[in-house]
Amino acid sequence: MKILFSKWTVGLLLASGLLLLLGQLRPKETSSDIGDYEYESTRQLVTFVDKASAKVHREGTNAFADFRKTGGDWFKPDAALYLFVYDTNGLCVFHPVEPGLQGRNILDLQDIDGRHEIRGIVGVKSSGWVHFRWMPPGGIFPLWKSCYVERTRGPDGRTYLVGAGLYNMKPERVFVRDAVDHAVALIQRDGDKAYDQLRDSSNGLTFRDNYIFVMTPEGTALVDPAFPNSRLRNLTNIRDVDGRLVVQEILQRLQRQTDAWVMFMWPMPGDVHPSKRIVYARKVQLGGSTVIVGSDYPAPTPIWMKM
Amino acid sequence: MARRPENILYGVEDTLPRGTLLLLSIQHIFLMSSTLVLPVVLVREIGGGFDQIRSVVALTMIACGIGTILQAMRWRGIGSGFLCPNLCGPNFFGACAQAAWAGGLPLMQGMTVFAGVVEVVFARIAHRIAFLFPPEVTGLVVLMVAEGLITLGVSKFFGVNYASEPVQPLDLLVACLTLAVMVAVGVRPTGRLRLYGALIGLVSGYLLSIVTGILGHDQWRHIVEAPALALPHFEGMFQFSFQWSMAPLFIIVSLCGALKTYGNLILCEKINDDDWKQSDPARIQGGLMADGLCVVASGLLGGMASDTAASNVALSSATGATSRRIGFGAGFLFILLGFSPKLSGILSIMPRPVMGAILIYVTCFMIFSGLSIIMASKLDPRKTFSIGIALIFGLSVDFLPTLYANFPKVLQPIFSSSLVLATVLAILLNQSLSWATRTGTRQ
Repeated sequence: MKILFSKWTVGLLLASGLLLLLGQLRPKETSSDIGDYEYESTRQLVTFVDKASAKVHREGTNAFADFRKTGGDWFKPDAALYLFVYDTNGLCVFHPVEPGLQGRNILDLQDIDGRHEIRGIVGVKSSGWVHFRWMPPGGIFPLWKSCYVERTRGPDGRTYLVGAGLYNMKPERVFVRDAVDHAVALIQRDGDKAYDQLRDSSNGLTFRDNYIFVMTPEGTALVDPAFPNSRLRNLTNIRDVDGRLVVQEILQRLQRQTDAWVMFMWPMPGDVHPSKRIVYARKVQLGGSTVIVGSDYPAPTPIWMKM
Repeated sequence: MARRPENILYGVEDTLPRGTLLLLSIQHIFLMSSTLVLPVVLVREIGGGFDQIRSVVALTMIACGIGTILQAMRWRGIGSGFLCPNLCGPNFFGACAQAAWAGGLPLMQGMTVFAGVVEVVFARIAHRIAFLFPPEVTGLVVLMVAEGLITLGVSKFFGVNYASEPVQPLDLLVACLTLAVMVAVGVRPTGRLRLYGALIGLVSGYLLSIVTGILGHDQWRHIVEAPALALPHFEGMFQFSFQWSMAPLFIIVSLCGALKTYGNLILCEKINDDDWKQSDPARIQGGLMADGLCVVASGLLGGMASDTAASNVALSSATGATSRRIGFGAGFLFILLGFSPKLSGILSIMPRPVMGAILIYVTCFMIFSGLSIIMASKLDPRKTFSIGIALIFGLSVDFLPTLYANFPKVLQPIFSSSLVLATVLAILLNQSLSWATRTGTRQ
C-alpha cells in the first residue's frame, strides 16, 4: 500500500496523464501536401483553404454562413484573413469583406499594375497561387497579396474556386518554380512571341521584386528585366557582391541537367546588406534552339541568423 | 612534484579495472553528446537531409573522439596527458552556421580547417601573447559566445523559424517541459542524478515529442532503416572552400576555443595537484596543440569544429576519477558510436523544441561561466570601462544591426559580429588603459 502512494508512483501517474493529454493535442492531418512550403504562415493558409474547400465540397453554399461569422474559424478581420469563392466564369459567389461584389461578374477586374487577378483565380486548374496588389480591409494603399486557391465541386454540381490570401507574404520556393514553369509553358506555346508578355510586369508571373529572364545558352539576354527594350546584353560576366559569377554557374549547371537552383548574394530592395537569393533556371527546347528561362527569390533566412 | 588531492580515487596515471573504466567512459560520452544538437541544427538549417545530418553528426563524433584521445596522450609535443574530453564546440557554432549558410558545408569545412591551423599557431606562441587575454577579457569572450546562442535557442524554444511567423503552442509546451525536467534534475543538491540532467531532459523531450506527434513515423522510419554499422559519408564531403571575409570571425572563435582550452587545462592541473602554483607551459602547449589538431581533423573529415569540455573536467573532479585512461576509453567509444548510423541517427532527428530547451540549458552554464570569470578578476575602474564599453558596443551589433552597414568594407568583418567587435574592443581598451594607467602612475 505504501508503494502505491510513494512520490515515484504519483510522479509516474502524473506523467502518464500529461502524456495522454498531450496526445489529444496532436495536430490534425491535412490532405494537401504542405511539405513544399518553407514558412509556417504559408502552410497554415494552405491548410485553411484546403479545409474550406472540403467544406464547400460537402455543404455547397450552405458553408458560407459559417465562413461569414466574424471572429470564427473562417473569418478573422483582425488578421485580414477571409475566404472568397468564385465560379469558373468570374462570378463572385462569396466575399465577406466586400459583400457588394457578390453576384457580380468581375472577371475583368485589374489591380493597380493592370493584373487580371480574377482571371488568375479562375485559371487555377486544381490548386495554385495568384499574386496581385490589393487593398487590405480598411487600408488606403494596396499591398502585395498572395492567394491560395482550390477548385472544388459542390453538391449542387457547380464548380467553385475557393481561396484566401495573406498580405505581404514571404516568397516561397514554390512561387518562383510555378512562375518559371508558367513562363516555359508560354514560350513552348507561343515561341518567341511570348517574350513581349514576359517583359510586361502585369503578366501575373512577377511577384514583388522577382522577374522572369530568358537568355541563350551563351548568356545573351532575350528577356532582360533590367533593360526591357534591350535584347543584346551578355550576362555571363555578372557577379554577385562576393564576386561569384552567377550566370556562368547557371550555364555550367544546365549543361549537365535540365534545371538548376543557384545561390547568390545581393541586397534586397531598400537594404544595404547583401542577402542570400536563389535563382531557379530551366533549359527549354524551342524549335531547333535552346533557351534558358529563370527567376529568383530571396532565400528564407532563419530568424536567428546574423547576416 | 604534484601532490595528489585526497578526493582523487584514480589519478592521472592510474590504471582502472576494466568494468570501472567502461562505466566512467560511458558517463563521459553522455556529457560529450550534450552539444551534438549543434551540427543537427546547423545542417538542418541549410536544408540538409537526414543522411547528411546523420553523417555530419557521426563525423563530428569521430573528430571529438580523436581529439579526446590526442588530449590524453603526451607524444612529441601533442597532448596534455589529462582527461579533458572534446565535444562539439558551442563557441564555433555561430561562425560555422554563417559559413555553411553562405557557402554550404564546403565553406564550413574550409574555414574550420583554417580555425584549427590558427589554434595550432596559437599553441606555438601562446606564452608570448597571453598578456592580451587577462581573465576579464577571457570571461567577456565566453559571455559573448553564449550571447550568440540566445537567438537560436529561444527561436527553437518557441517553434519559430522565420521572422513574423506564428509561435507553435505545442512546440512551446514540449520545450517548457523538457527544460523544466533538466532544471529540476540540475538543481538537486545531492546525488549523481544531477550529472545526467541534459541526458534525462533529452530522453523526456523525445518522449514528449513522440506523444505529441512532433516526432512522427517518417523520422523513426529513417532510424529503423539505418544500418547498425556503416562508414559515415555524404556527397562532396571532401570539398573545401575558403572566404577571406570570414577569416577574422574564425580567427576570433578559434582564439576563443584556445582560451577556453587554456582554462580547462589549468583546471585539470589544479584538480590533480594540491600544491599547484603555476601552469606547466609544455603541458599547456601540448594540450592546445591537440585541440588545434582536433579542429583541423573536424574540418577535414566534414564534421563541426570541436572544443574541450569544461563540464567533463568538472565531472572528473566530482567523481574523483581523473585518469587519462578514461580519456582513451571515452574517445574510443565516441569514435565507435560515429560508425553506428542507427545511434547517431537518433540524435539527427532531434525535435525542434528539444533543441531549444537544451540550447537554453547549455547557454545558462556558459553565461554564468563568463560572468564568474569576469567577476573573479577583482574589477577596478580600468577593467570596468574596458569590459563595459566592449560589451555595450558588442551588443549594439545585435541590437542595431544596420548601424554599421555603411562602414568601410574592409572593417565589416569586425562590425558584423557582436563577438568579434566585443573581443577586439576589449583587447584594445585593456591594453591602452593599462598603458595609460602605467604612464600616469610614473608621472
